Amino acid sequence: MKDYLYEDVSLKSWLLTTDHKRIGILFLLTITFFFIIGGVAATLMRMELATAPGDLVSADVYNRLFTLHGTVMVWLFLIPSIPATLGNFLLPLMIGAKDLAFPRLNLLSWYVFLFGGLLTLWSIIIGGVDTGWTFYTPYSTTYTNSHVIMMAAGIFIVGFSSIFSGLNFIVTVHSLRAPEMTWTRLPLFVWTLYATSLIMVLATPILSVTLVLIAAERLFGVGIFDPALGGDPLLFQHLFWFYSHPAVYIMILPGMGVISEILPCFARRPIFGYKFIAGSSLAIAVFGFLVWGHHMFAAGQSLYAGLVFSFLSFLVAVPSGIKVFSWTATLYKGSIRFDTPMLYALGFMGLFTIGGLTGLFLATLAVDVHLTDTFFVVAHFHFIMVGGMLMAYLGGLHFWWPKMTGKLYPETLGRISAVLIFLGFNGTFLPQFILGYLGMPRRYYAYPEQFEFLNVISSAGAVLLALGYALPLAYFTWSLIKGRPAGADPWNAAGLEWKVSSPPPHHNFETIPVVEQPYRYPRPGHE
Amino acid sequence: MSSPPELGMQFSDLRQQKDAYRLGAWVFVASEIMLFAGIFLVYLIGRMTHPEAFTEGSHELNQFLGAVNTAILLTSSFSVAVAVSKAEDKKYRTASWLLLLTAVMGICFLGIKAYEWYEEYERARVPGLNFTYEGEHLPGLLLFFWFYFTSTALHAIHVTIGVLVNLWFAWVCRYRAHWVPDPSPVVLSGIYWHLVDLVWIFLFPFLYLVGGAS
Ligand SMILES: [Cu+2]
Repeated sequence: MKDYLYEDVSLKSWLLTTDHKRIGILFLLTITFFFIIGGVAATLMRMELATAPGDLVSADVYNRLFTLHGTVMVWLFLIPSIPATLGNFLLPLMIGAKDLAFPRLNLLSWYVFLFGGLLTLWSIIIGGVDTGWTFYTPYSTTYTNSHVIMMAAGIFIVGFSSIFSGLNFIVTVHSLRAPEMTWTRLPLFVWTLYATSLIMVLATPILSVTLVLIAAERLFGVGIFDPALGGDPLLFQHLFWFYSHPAVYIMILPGMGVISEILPCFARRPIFGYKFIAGSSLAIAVFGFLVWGHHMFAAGQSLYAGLVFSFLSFLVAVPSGIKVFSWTATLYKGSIRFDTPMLYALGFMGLFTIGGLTGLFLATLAVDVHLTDTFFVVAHFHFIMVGGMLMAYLGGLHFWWPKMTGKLYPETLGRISAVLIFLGFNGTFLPQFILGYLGMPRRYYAYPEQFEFLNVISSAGAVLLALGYALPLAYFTWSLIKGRPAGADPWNAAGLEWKVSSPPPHHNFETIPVVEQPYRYPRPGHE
Repeated sequence: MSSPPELGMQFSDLRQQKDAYRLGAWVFVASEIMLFAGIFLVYLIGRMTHPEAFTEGSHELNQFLGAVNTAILLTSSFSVAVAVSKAEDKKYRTASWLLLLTAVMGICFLGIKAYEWYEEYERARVPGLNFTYEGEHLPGLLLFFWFYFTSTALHAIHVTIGVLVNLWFAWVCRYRAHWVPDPSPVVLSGIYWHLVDLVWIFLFPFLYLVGGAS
């Protein structure tokens, strides 16, 4: 019985595969490629900001760099990161299914993503875009002469990939669960994928409309957003954030799911508050649709709208808080093992909490007036997106790498990378909170002398961070060739995915698997 | 136990497969509704900003042909609904004829729509192609006609796909009835066709009727 990797090794069998595990691997390779591109842009930006005057690149190039960084990281890395790789690979395994409900749609999702991603890349190669990833109007529609339409077309196409994956996940969770896999036995990772999919399916179409409207105003001079043509620039911000705020939860929810899998395994304790964690995922998905206006407190929105959006944004903190408290309670009296995935998960808990709490500062109307468009905002969302999501992604990758490849990575190097990333991340982004509070605006390539010290610390932190990312790239690749065989269940973990061999066989399960209560730790009969 | 050939390997039985396909169709419809909702929202805001221009735009459209098209599409929704129930009763011949009828009505709709576009082209109202207008409602009227062409074209694409799906199922029900598993997947094309109809039921009053009557 051959596993899914060696069943057929021809290139054709990979490019035409409908196996969710192989498609997960295809996504993994693709988004790693885009992550490197986005990372190179970030490196160049931090190099420019290491000194006060704008000396390394011109202002115009700097504008294009942060647009590249934002666009690539958000749409070509973070949005697909956990759902399309770990989600694709694990969802059917976790619920005892042989594949997703629509395997061919899944493959189409990858091709659409690849095509849209390459189109976006092409817009960068022929000169790039200088509007920022937010494409604010009327600059993006009337004034800039960069390749907005090409990039918008790329993002528009990538959106369909999201919708296809979301649809596939929703249907799979509803109809392909093994007979004994009831809703309250679903792994929490599956719950978060489900909540994420709802957002993907319902919010992404609004982004599509918004991008089409931008193209229309640029191409035909139709006055939708440009006041000179009778349009309303605030309308663009409403539409854009109606998608892009929920998109933040597309990016963070699956990370929360990964953490909920890792913590019980390495604390050897059942998860605390299973139903609350599951329910809070849905609550976050629903509330996430109602808070977009907090991006427009300083943009001329009515004060009453601002009040309501501020209040609702505070409410979102409640389900997030429920999760953090439940995770902490899971650790209580556990026998904790500090393996690599656990280090990443603990890092996530700290950084996500800081990111979430600083979000409350920004949701406060008066404070936000002071902090809008400063580095404080940059630091805040990097704590969520990088400190949160990227830590969870790497934690999950380390946790399930033995399952996906059948090989163990070097544990010591893994721990070093987790610590390095944690330290490098804090070095990079903690100073940015202070910089922003002191008034340093985002998206400037030069700044006054007095901000230089903190910027140097931030750039130095970025060096550590880059090293931390390079390490896993190296040892994961190494482990494919030299890694020791992992065995079916190297962590002695609960969950159906650990019941099959590593790497799993082509159709996952020979017979319908027996389902037990979720998170049965400590493992009966083992400890 | 041998499984029937039309059963996907990821499913354990045909019932499960049908449920999955049906739910998939509904989730798809939900996503499409959000897409059109976004377009309608921006249309309504444009209308609030430029009421006179949008009224003028409505006046310029061919209300008679729009109404005929609405009647055609509503009738086709009826025929597809009957086709679905016939297919579920395994009366595949009747179902096939009804699906064919639905497709023909869809083609009629597209023909009339194309003729309307031609009329508007003659009057130089196509943004990006030949839009020329000298009156006082310029930005608003351009916006109106851009919405008109974008939304009706997007809708027409959906109709075209629906026609092809209906033709496909008509052919299957007529000549390859043994391919049709029980429970039948014809309901999928029915759900999709109703979506196409539903969108038009909003487009017609928004574009042709509101402010266009007086
Ligand atoms: Cu937000």
